Amino acid sequence: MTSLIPPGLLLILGALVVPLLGRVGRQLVALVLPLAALAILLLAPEGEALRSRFLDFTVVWLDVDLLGRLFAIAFCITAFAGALFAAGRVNRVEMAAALLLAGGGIGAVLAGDLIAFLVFWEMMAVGSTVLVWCGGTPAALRAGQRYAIVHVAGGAVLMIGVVGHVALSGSAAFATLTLESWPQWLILAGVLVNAAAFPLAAWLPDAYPEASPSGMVFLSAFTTKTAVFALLRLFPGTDLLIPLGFVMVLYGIVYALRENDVRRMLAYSIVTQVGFMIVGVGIGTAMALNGAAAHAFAHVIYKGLLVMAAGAVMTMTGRRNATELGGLWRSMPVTMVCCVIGMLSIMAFPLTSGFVTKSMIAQAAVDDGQMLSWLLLTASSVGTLVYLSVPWFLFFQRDSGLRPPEAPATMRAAMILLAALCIGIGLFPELLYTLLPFGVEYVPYTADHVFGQLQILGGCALVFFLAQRYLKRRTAPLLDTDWLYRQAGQRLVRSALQGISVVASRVQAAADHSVAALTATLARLYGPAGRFGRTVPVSQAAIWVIMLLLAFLVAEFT
Amino acid sequence: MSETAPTPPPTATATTTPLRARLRRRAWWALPIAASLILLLVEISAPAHAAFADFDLFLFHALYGILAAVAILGIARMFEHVLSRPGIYGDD
Repeated sequence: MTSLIPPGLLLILGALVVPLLGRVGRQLVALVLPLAALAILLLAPEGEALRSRFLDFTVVWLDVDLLGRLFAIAFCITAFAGALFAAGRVNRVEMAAALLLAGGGIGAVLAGDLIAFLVFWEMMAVGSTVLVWCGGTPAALRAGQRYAIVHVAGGAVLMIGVVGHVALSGSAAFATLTLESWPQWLILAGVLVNAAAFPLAAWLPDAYPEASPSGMVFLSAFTTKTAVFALLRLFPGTDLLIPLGFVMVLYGIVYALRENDVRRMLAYSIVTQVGFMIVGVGIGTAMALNGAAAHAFAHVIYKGLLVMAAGAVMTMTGRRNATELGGLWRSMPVTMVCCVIGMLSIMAFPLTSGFVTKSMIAQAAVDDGQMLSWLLLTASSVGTLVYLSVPWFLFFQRDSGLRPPEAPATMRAAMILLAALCIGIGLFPELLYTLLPFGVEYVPYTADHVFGQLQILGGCALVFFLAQRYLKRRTAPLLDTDWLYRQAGQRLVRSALQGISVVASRVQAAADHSVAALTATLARLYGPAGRFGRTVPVSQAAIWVIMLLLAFLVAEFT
Repeated sequence: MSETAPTPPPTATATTTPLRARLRRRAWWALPIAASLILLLVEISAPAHAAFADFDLFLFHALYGILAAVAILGIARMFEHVLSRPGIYGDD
């Protein structure tokens, strides 16, 4: 039994308290709680556990190990940076939802068994749905509804899988599964929904960009990374995940390349980067798992940074389309520098965090003899150059004539913090290595690796600038799998409702007809002139009674 | 009765895009397809693997980067041609 307060629970309690506080109290709680949770995490010894009885099971609500602690640290950092970025600009509901999401995420990655994991997982779904709704627009409301439907369905699949697995095996252990039974397949499917794996990825670019600028910072950090954590814990070395990850990488790049909305572009990039992590999980060696976990850690930070930069621009200009922006480096230099650092990280540029973590996955493929995977990873990483377009469209390209003031101080502070971490991890990867679940002896800064990477990035940067005319942004949407439930599903439901309505009206008509016929018959029989309604003389009735009595006596004694 | 001469019906040449123009419009497909094929050859050939493993081929990475970028751009354009549907999501 632990003597420490579970870090996730701390933030969840904060979510309950925040709506009752004033503006200053709200901000203080949102800033202090992630730091307190981080301090607890750093102090908690490995193996620290919190258990309680539930039905016939002992539920392990907290079990601190290296993998869980790595993810929880990343979540605490993002929760703090997100609260700093949002300071003074979000309402109490949004802040409570953000804390619930962060607390659920931290609780899930520190959960000691599947039951506790499921409870925190569902809390995240509630928090993230409310965050999308807090975008406050009709589009956000609709996107939030779709988000809720997808995640309720995914959560139900996961729950059925967990219940089935516990019933079949008698164990709720949060350990490696081998996909030998149907509940384990359901658990994998439920987790992949949250990981935004193709073809179930469309909910992410549909919902996240509709949240508020600060809401998207929180959304981009927790849900998909918790799913990656679950894959690392439950399905390491599952071959199926390698092709699935590559499809996700390609999907994100293809859809982001022609996207006009910068925040949707970043949402697609989450799918791409999670694809890289899933490839690492699929390779399954210690190096690959380290690489996937490290890349998740780095991704939480640099993606938070890029989302903040886009959010700062949106806050200051009220615009989010690439075609409406440009030339903002003049008036928003700090935001521009932070955005460029985030972009360099996502592109795996040397001296940034992405260079260290992404190349760990690629190196794991080489070490495991999976050269095709390595070449595909290299080719796919070229595609992330598409994110060169984020700072390009926001701050450079043509001059849009917009001269907004620089982002507020708290926004800048949050971006500078994350940018410093991107560079810090890039310069001193050993600090990250100490947090990884397995020992690391990887040296990213060799001449071959650095110059090879610079050549690859230089080559594709050349193509990027030469092919500008092919990179024009389009406003027409691309067909995606969410069309099935956004349009085809709606039409199907509408047709089904119409069918039910027709059947119901016919049943109603038939019932009306039957009631009318019955009423007429009753009126005929029992009406004033009816057979049973007529007035009969007493003598005639007495004769009928006598006749009946005689008939009874005859029947009785014969 | 009107004195105005009747308008002749549109000719085939006015409504049909000449073959050459259509080919020119589709020419950009050739480059990414070629890049993808070369990339595929690189990926399935043992000497190319060895070259990558040894890191001894100067500027090979840059070439690989260019090929991969062109291939990805081409794939994205092809997807766009196939999947772009204005108004597909209605009011959403």
